[in-house]
Amino acid sequence: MKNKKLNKYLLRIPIYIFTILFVILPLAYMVIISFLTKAKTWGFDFTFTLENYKKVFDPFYLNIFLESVKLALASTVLVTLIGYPFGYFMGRLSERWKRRMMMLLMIPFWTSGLIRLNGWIIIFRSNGVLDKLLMFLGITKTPLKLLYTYPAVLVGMVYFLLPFMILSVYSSVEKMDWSLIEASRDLGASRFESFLTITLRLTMPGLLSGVVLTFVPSMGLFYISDILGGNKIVLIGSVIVEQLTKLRNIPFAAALSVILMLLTIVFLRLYKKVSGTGELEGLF
Amino acid sequence: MTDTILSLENIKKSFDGENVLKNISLDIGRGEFITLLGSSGCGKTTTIRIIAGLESPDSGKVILNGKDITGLAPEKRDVNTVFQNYALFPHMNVEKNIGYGLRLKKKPANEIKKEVEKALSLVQLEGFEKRNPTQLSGGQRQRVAIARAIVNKPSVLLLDEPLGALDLMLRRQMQMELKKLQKALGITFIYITHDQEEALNMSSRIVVMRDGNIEQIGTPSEVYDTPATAFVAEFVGGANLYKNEGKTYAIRSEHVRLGAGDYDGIVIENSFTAGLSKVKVRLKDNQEITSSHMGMNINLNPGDAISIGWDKKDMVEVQGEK
Amino acid sequence: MKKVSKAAVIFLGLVTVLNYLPIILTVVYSFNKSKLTSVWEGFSLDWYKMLFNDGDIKKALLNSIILAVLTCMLSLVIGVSAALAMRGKKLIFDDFISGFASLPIMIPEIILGMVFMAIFSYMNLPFGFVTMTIAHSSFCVPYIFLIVRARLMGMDLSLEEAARDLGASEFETFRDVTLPYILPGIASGLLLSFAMSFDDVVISIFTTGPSVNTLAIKIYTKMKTGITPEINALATVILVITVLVIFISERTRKD
Repeated sequence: MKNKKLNKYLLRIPIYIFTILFVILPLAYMVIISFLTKAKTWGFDFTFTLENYKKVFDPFYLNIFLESVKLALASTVLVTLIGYPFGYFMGRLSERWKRRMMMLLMIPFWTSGLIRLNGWIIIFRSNGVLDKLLMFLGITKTPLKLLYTYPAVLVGMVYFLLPFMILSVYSSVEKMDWSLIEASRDLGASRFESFLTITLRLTMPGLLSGVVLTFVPSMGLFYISDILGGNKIVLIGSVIVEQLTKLRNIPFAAALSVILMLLTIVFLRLYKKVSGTGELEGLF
Repeated sequence: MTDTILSLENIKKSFDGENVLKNISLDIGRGEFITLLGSSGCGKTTTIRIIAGLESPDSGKVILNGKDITGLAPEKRDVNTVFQNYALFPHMNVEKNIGYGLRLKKKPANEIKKEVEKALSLVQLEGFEKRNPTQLSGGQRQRVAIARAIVNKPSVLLLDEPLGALDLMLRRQMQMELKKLQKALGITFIYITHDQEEALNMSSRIVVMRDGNIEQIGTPSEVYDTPATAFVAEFVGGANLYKNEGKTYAIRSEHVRLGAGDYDGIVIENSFTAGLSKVKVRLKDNQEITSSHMGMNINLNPGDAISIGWDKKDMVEVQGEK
Repeated sequence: MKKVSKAAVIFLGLVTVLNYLPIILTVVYSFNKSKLTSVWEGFSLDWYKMLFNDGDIKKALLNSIILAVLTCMLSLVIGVSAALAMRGKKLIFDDFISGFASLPIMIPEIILGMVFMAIFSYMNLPFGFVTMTIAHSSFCVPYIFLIVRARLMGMDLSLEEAARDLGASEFETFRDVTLPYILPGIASGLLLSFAMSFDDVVISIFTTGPSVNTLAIKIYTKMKTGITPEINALATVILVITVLVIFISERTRKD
């Protein structure tokens, strides 16, 4: 079967070319640019410099990095607190309700993120739905004007990322053998002990991949902070955009991207180490 | 053998440096029911995969109906296989599965329909045309897999442990049916199993394999009564191996008499299952011999002294060690 | 043992309601007469009329669809061929390449946007459909590749051997056995790719050309400059289409 072998080589050509040309090469190019000097007008000169990286450690930008990580962490914690129990309970529903719940989850998930954010503008905007409701209930007297504040951005992030966590937790709950819990109860574990020693351990891959799927994108989701945070909440993603589009400082944007990328890789490595696999649960 | 349908000539095959088939030569006659018997890893599956063309040998020839088919693609061979896990196409119903080979041969639709019906009645599954493989039991899937292969009227049908996944009762029943089917069709069957009882029941000849070599080829009674090697004696008949003056003899346990007074030893095990009593005795020279008897349990305990014996005519000299 | 407490049901219900609240409000306010989203002045279809008469939006929608289709086609070829190629024996660079190929779905989108903008201007590619298709494919290829590969890994090799054994050539085996088996994977990969390409803002902004405005970019710019009820109407239309697609794909999957 010689032509079978030939086929195997031919079939590899597209992915090899595409990956080398449009993934590896661009990333390498980005690393190179990050060591070059910004040209006076547009683009960059091919003179080596470490200036861009020094600038990253400027307290101003360092602080933005810190803020971004903090927001990502806060989003991840909230997403976990809501998403884990949701995925877990969902896994315990009857087959019929599982399917219905899945449909209910998929509709917003497949709807453009932008469109879903649009609804939060209606809710948060000054004198918007939330303000009206709170004032109607007598909880607040004046509009809170939550749009363009930190809480609004956080809500937007959690809202946007929650389905990823739910789906990955759910898929590992689905795989779980419930008789193991019965066994542990039979062997004398309390409800809580049984959850801690069996359920949590067995759903850990789902939980961890949910954390990765929440944390990694949240570092770069600049348009949520853009739309719900106005220009008040500055995150690292927004800085890169600004450097690229307004200030035209491509080398610095590249350096920021390299650092962000390194952070991501460290995080993914960590995940790989903790979970023992590189595969993300629930993605497929 | 009057009429050879398939010959293997000096087949060698290795995977990742491991010699799976060392030097296999075998002639199979038209209409034979031949069984390749051996434990897992002996090379029996590789042998039929080479016959089917799913694997190509490193050296050697496969000759079918007098033609060298060694390099021929599997679809061009007049050979069909019943796979161990049945390999029914999940997206086709029973009718489509069975008719697949005929459709590829561009047979007219009404003829295919007729042939499929005939094949289904041969395996006693009339009326199952529209079922999906997932709606069938293990035994029914088995029958569909057989029907799918025989409908193409191959010269040789290869069966790779087809009954392995079935329970004991169903296995027995299918053994009978397969044998009947083979007689009715007159197709040569090459059957793989690791179950010696199955091999002894069904085959016209048995090929005992071990570590990529053929240990013995013969009719069931030849293999059972006159094992050529120590391995065959033990694997097929469960016989005792007794060494004396540098020679090895096989002695079937039912020929070993308790209390015969020829050899002294002590009982080390006494078991009674399914009407068969087995007493294992360690002789003075430390060789262990088992004696088996149908019927009553014998009142013996480990440690009891006993003497055993057997007739000279029941000793079969065999080659090799176990 | 497997039962759900009342509290759990309430929790599931509450989160689901919150999940839908923004969507429902968008739909409701798309019928609002007032230009201000904060006041309700009665029912009207004005915004829908405005939407359907907006040539810019129509053009953007068409662009989005063309782009999504192009992306799906390119990603399909690359992803499926790669999954088929890498199922058997691996070559030395396979892990390296497939590792890098999967990277775009792991790293923040903003990095990809930056990287593509830089490399495309270096390569002198004309910014527009070409650059956007490549950029979108970078995050669609891994999905199709990984989904189809997962499906192939679950496939029993003896199915293909059985087809060959029954007389099918290599091509016939692929057509009759392998392809039907991986088709659900291809379908869900394509659906996912289409949706992701259609929704993408971040990477699109950096790789778009002067003449190509996608719907997502259009919505983004409008949302940044202040929400108009027209966006609500547009969002509602997209929502209805999404629901229909999900419904249809659920239905077909059952068969």
